[in-house]
Amino acid sequence: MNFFSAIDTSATGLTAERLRMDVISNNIANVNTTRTEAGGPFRRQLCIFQARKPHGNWPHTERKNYSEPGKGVRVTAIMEDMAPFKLIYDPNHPDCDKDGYVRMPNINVVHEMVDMITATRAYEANVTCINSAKDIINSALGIGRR
Amino acid sequence: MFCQLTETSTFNLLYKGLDVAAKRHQVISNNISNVNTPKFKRQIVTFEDQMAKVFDGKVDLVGKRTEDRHIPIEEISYLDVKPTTITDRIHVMRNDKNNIDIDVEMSDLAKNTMQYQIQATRLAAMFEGVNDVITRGGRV
Amino acid sequence: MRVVESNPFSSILRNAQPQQKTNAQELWQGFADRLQGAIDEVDCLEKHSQKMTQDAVLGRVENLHDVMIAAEKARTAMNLTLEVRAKAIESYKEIMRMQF
Repeated sequence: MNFFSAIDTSATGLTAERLRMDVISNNIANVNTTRTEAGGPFRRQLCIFQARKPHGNWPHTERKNYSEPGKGVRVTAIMEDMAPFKLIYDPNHPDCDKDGYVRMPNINVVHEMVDMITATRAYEANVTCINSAKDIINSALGIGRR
Repeated sequence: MFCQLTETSTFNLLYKGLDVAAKRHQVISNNISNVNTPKFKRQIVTFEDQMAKVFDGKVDLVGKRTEDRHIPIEEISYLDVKPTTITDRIHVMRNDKNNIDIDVEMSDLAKNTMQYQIQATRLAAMFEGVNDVITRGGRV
Repeated sequence: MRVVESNPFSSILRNAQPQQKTNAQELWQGFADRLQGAIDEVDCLEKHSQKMTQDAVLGRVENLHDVMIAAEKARTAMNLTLEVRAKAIESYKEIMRMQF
């Protein structure tokens, strides 16, 4: 393991959180979308995070000694939330069904805002990690300085 | 002969401390990147408690060895104490089974960074001290 | 009991015990062997330091402080060797300056 591996780990966190922010922004932008290409209203999307193992995901490395910390996080998939759509009664809407109900996306804006704050906080924490790693390397260089 | 010049017990302790702080930084970085990963459990590095016991000679149970082939029980020199990474499964979990508290990790990060800087500075000063003696010790 | 702190220079001096031999040839041989051993050790430390530096560039080193400490040890050992050499030459010159 390189001595920059801690920075790589934090970088994976930054990438994952930024991707999550993109997904959240997309969800909020589409909160009122009733038509999509697949037909039907927009379904909420969410990111699936998975921890990276220190020796990779291949099965033959399962038995290796796990005294090493993992290598950060990976977004394995962006999946759709299978919660039911919200039904709003609006008989004048062009997309309403025979009973006058319009199916709206299953997105709760408040929920998305909370997720966004969590993602931002995690992003800032990862940035602090990288700054600390730089401080550590600089103080190691100070060992030889006169 | 030259190795004795630098390898005093304080030096060795500082050197080990640097290794431990570097490892701890990696573990903390991993914890922070995985703060939103479901089912991820916090990892910590233990070293100081074990080292304090061995360094002070207060090891609890020491096995008596009369032969080289006897397995040593707790009879280790302070140079052999290694940092261990353990997974903390005990503490309170969120709904997604992730038990990382971001505030605890951030404060651990700050403490660890300062600890590394303290140890590196002291180590540099020890080298400087030896060099001072070498260059000016022979002069009147 | 608690680990004992040792003075770095005293441990070197402790090893430089006066010899019991009276034969001048053997004394000088012992001294020459010690000197050669010390020079080999400095060389070894320098090589180790260079290897660590190469590993740092090639991305094989796990901790930066290993590289820095190896470099400092080599530098300190070299410093000591140079000072001892300077003192030895100075004392030689002092002796040669003596007039009988």
